[in-house]
Amino acid sequence: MGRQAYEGSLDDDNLPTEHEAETVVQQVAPPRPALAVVPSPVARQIQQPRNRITSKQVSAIWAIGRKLGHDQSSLRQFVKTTFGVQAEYLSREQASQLISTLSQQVAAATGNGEDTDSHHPGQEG
Amino acid sequence: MGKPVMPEGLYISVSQLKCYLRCPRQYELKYVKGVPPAFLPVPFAFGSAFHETAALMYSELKNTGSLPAKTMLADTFRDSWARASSGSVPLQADEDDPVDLGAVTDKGVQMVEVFHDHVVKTCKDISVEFVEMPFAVSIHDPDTGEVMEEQLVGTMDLVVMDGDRRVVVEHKTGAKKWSEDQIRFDLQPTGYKLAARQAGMGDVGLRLQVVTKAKVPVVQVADLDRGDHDEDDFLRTAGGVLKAIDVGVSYPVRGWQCRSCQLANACLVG
Repeated sequence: MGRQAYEGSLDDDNLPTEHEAETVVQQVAPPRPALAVVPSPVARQIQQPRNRITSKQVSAIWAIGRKLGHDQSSLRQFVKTTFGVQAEYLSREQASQLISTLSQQVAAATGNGEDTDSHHPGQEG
Repeated sequence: MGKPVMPEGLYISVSQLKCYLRCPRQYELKYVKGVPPAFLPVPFAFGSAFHETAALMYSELKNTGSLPAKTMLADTFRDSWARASSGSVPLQADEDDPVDLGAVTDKGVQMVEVFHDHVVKTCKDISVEFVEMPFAVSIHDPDTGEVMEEQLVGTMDLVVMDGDRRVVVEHKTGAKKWSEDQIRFDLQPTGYKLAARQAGMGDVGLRLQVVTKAKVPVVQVADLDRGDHDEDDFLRTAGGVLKAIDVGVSYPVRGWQCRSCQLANACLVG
């Protein structure tokens, strides 16, 4: 049992019965290649490419927001209300979507000479 | 207390790291979802007021070569504490006890006086370089060497030259002295040592000055030792936490800390 504890295969929720303990002592543990080659779901998840917004995207959001005349706090509030998270925790896809929307507003405002201060973040230009 | 310079991109602070390690659910509510806190714990506000007073003390020392009078420092503490205790977010003591503002003020003034005496004794040996110095530096993955998206941000309470060595000094207030384990393993000094090097300050020494809230306050001074292994650990911890945040790992850690958690109500609502 001490070895199991050392190996991590024994914990408070996985105490073997007396019978199981005897069985373990008497048998030679078979090799377990499958465990060695198949990464756990957690390991696979951690190896996935990063999904969170990048620093460049965060900077772009603030920069485009400034072009539209929005201070950071109003833009932050808009992001929080729209996406349910702070800007720094958007996914890359959400960030792309937001940048695209804001960029369209800048293009529209620049194209027709409107006062950009009159736009609400996310409001179509 | 000076606020760290927040870069326009992504960043992580030692406080954020510690928050995630203490309770990922608290991190999610506070930083990811931006849930406003229900109250301000007294120790936070008290610590801010004390830091402001200590900063004034060392700024005067830097600018004039002498320390302000105790009465001036006591007034600074009173003003700062009054601001903290009259903000829009209500104060809350531990265990839901009512906050005795007068008693807290008296304790703070007593601690400021004890700290003043300590600085009078020790200021001859140091030269103040920076007070409340914010930083934002790049950190890297210790295995791949890849620079992380997030910069490490924070504020060094004090940077001094002690003889020919530059020392980063961190001030704390607490009910009791720091334990040996805190002194040995706390993440903050390690992060600051790393940040100091990144900021071009070289291989700095680390010093902790803890002023206790005991009946008779004392100043605990500890010179901390942090080596390459500690910095490696810090980077692994930061990298691990950031990976976990990236994939949305969040779970509540129920325990004693829930009693004084500013977000307990939001956490229980789900």
